[in-house]
Amino acid sequence: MRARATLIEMQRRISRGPHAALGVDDAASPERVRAAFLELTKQFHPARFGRMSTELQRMSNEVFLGIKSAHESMLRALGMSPRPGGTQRNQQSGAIPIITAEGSSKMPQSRPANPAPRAVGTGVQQPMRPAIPRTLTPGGRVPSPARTGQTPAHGIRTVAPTLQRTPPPASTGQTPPHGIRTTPTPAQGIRTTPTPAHGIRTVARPGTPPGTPPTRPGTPPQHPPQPTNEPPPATQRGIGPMPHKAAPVFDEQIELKQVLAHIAANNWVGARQVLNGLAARMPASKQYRALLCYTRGREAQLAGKGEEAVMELQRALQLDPDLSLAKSALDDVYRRR
Amino acid sequence: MGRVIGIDLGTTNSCVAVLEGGEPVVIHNQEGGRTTPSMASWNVDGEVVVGAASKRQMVTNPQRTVFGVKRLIGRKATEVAQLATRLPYKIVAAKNGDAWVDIAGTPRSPQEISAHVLAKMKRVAEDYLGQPVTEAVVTVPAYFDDAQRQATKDAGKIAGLTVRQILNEPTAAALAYGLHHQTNQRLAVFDLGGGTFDISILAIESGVFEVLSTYGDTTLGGDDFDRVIIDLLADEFQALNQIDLRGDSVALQRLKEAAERAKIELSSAMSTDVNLPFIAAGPQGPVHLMRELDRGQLERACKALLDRLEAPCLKALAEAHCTPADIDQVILVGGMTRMPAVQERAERIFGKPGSKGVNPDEIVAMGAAVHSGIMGGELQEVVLLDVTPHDMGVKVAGDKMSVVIQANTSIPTRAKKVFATTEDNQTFVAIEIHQGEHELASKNRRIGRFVLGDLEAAPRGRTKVEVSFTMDADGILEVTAVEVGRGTAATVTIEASSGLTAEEISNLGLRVNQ
Repeated sequence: MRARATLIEMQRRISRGPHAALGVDDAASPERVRAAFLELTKQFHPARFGRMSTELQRMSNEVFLGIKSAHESMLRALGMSPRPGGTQRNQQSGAIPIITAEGSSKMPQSRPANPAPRAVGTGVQQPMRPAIPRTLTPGGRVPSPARTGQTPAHGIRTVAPTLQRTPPPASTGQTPPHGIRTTPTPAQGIRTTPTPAHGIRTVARPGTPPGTPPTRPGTPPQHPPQPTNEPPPATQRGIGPMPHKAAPVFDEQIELKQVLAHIAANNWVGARQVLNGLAARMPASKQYRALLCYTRGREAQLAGKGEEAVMELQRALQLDPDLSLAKSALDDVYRRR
Repeated sequence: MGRVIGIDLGTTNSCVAVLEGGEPVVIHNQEGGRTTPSMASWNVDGEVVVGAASKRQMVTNPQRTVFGVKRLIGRKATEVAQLATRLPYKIVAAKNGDAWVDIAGTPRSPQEISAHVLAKMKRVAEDYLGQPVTEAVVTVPAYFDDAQRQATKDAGKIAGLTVRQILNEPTAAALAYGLHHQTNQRLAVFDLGGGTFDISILAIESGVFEVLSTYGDTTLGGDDFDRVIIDLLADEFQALNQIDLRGDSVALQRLKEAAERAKIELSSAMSTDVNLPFIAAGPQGPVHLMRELDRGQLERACKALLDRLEAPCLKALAEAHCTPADIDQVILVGGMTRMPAVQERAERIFGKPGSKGVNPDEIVAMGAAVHSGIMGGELQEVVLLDVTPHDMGVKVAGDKMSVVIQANTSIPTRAKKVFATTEDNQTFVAIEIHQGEHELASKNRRIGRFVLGDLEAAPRGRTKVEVSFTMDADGILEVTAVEVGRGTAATVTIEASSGLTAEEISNLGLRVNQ
């Protein structure tokens, strides 16, 4: 069928990177890039496939997400916003990429040496600053440095997302242009999994057989979870019973933001409170303990207690050698001596 | 392939259109109307009448005639409690808290009630086309959330229609307008309908209609303006006669009808008469309500509502990085935009009058028909890029809202976030999905909840879960989650917070389509 062939061909182009996806060359201007994107949108927007089979609809959705991604990363590399006449939309709510939004914060792996300024928080483009700035604004208004090793400028090393540990989808060989492994994209018109998607809307209504659990490509399929014999209550669309005590998740990033805000306001007590919570919940991580030492060091420094300040700041650097907050504070202390 | 129809399922009136020769054509119903009241009545035998016939029953059968059900669809009974006090029919809570309507002892979902209206529009189209119709594009307010969209889709299913796309009303209007005005331009669509207000800013470039921003108010519409008139008249009447007409459902319905008529009249006339003889029974015999109402009075009484139109427009402009001068055309959609005071406000905000030659009652259905052409391939040169109106995210510790997809992100879209466990040996994570702009998750709309189980037991913080949100072109969410770095699969169990189950939908389908 022509639609399928067109989609497959487009998938191939996407897998070769943003330039191939959009059909433009390296020297393309932002206008050319946008024009290419608009043309492709007319052809590949999922609405065009809205009356076809579910499988083709899903494929077209993935393809279009790939085209969008290619467009966004190309424009970002050119220092532009994907939106007409506007500044860049910040897909993230904060600076620390333990939480990644697709295509927005991570640099495509093909361009490690060319970091686009990442707009943080305000959604406004910032010019590139040196990797460890003298004056630091916690709260992350300084864009991250070029290294893909990710130490954002405020010097706090995050727990790197372990996406890279995910085994690549064996049958697809697809690298979406942004370099982030997404949930397996169907390739060659063959769906690699019955979509690891237990959509809130689309699958697993009561009475239907349980959906298969997400299958990691390259691993043998697992047994589907056994549903209980009682029919799920009327409100439930899922498979199996709901546990009664739901365990919460927490978003490190939000807490870290709070810490930085407290630090910016010289609210050491407040910062330490949140940090104690973080350190208790993530005992393996040294960065929070390092930050705790840093707050004590800074507090001491501002109170004129130089010796104590040095001690605490050194301890902070011992725990987290990359903590540039501590480095610049120490720098300050030494200069004043 | 069969024909795909475009349906504007409005709060007050619905309209159906189809694409003929590349042009959208509105279809008349059997009574000769180009729009059909979005109403359904159940009579004593349990038979249902829909549309104009139901509207005629409104006064005599007030407790079994349902209007404005679009204000209930996809919402919880608690959310509409205020509204419920002003309705002549009874609102009850379903098992999952959804707002349902109790009709003579039988609770019915808004999905079922809307399905009757959709089924009627389906029949109207079938009579015109001379063939069965099973597919439709149905429009919703741009500001509708996930639950409201899904419920509308379900209503279509119950009516025997596969809803190929849930389309935003302002976007639909822009499509219909732009089909014949395809120069690159910026549009503002100002849509004030029976129940909702939407403002969308779009850019048309090379045939791509791209929504830049959308804001709105799902509790601001023509019904609220009617309510102002009802209160004005009823308060006055109460002061004179010590009778509250709003307490009697028949009197209330007559008052509502009169208020709507007066409001419409005052869009062209400067004054009108409200004439309601025998509206109540007083101690000395029957009491009448006869009063003149003039346009100035109406506008003063509605000032608070008119004032509410401004803020969403300013937000939309800011988000789109546009000033009013950047907007080339303002499209006025929805019956309420016929009111001179509303037109004035729009002109004041955007610095230019609304475009003439747009039929505010029909343009949305026409846009839906145009979109069906995009889907079917008849229209190659235009396509639509819409956005999601609300932040979508996850509730994290401290009841905070951790946003995964931001409002005004173009759809379809996908975003991911990684979360960590909070306790040692936590073998499952429960993830609550919320939609809305409040900082606290619980103040936002809960869309659903899912549990990722069978995680590897590990110290707290070690186990990480990657959650992926994919929003389709309808603005409906799909969620997947995987445990990061592990070779074996984890189980996923989902519970939607609102809506009907598949079984309920298929049972209703049989009931509605006999």
